[in-house]
Amino acid sequence: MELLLEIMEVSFVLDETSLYLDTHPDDERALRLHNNASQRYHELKNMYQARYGPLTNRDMSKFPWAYIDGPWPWEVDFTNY
Amino acid sequence: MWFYEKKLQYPVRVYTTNPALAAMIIEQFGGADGELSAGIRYLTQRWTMPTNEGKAILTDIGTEELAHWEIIGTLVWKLVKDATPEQIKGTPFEAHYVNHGKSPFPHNAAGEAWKAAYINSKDDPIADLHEDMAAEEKARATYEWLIRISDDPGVTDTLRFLREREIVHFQRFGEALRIVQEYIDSKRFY
Amino acid sequence: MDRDYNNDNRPCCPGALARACIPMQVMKEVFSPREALKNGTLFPELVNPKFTTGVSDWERRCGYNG
Repeated sequence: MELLLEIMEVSFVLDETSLYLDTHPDDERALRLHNNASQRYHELKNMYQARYGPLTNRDMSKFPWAYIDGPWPWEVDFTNY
Repeated sequence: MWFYEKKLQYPVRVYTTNPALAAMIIEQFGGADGELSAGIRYLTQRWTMPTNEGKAILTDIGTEELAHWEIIGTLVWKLVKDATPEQIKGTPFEAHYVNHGKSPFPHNAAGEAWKAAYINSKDDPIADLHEDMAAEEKARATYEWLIRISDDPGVTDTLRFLREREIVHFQRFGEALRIVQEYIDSKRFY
Repeated sequence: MDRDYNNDNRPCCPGALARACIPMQVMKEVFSPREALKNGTLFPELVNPKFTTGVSDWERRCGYNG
């Protein structure tokens, strides 16, 4: 759960940097921030997927196909975090 | 093309069972100023938006709005998933329930189904971007009204997040408008 | 195209009739990822918790503050 929350946080940073860069493509500082966050995102994603299975159907899975496994996003109970 | 990532954009917490509240939240699932309208509107305008910046912002904000549509559907579902028929009877959710059970469905709080007339794409970047800016303000205002009537702290927290997103989107569309205005001025089309 | 983000050089603002103009944001400090998700934005200058709905006379008279 902690790992999922960390991924959600870094993902959100990327959502924000993407939108900012879409209208400010020449902002070097923003691009560096984005690229660093992207690296962190991929690290966390690999850690998560090794334990819990693929986050997208483009990622690899152990046997059997773990992408279909619950909980699906709307089923996750965040009330204890 | 679109990929799906198995996570919500925001950790949605719902502490209560409240079909009446769900019936109001659904305004942002299928209403005129809701997330489905926003997503479809921005993605529809992409084809005729000039400048790379314009196309990118419509793509990325449009995609984020679909992620918000997922959050609203999740709020509705969490508010009713444990509701008994007795808890649903006599609330505005009852009319929804007899047609859709507990499934979220794109209509507004008054029960009117979502329609494409809620959106437009004029092949005019100035008109389109102004519609987008207005849409963000209308969505923000709707979230403010919803926050006032919400009595579930988790729901309120999620609504505040979505409201802040509308403010950021407005800023980005405003910036895209400047970029497009400069582009048009430099081309001097009549 | 020139992109110095200096709003004074942008033609759309001062004196331009019949057009809307939003200043370009210039990124300064940013929130941590945790704070960003909590606040709904990465940028402190875009945080605005103040409601603009309900400034009608009725709400002021009844003391509602949003």
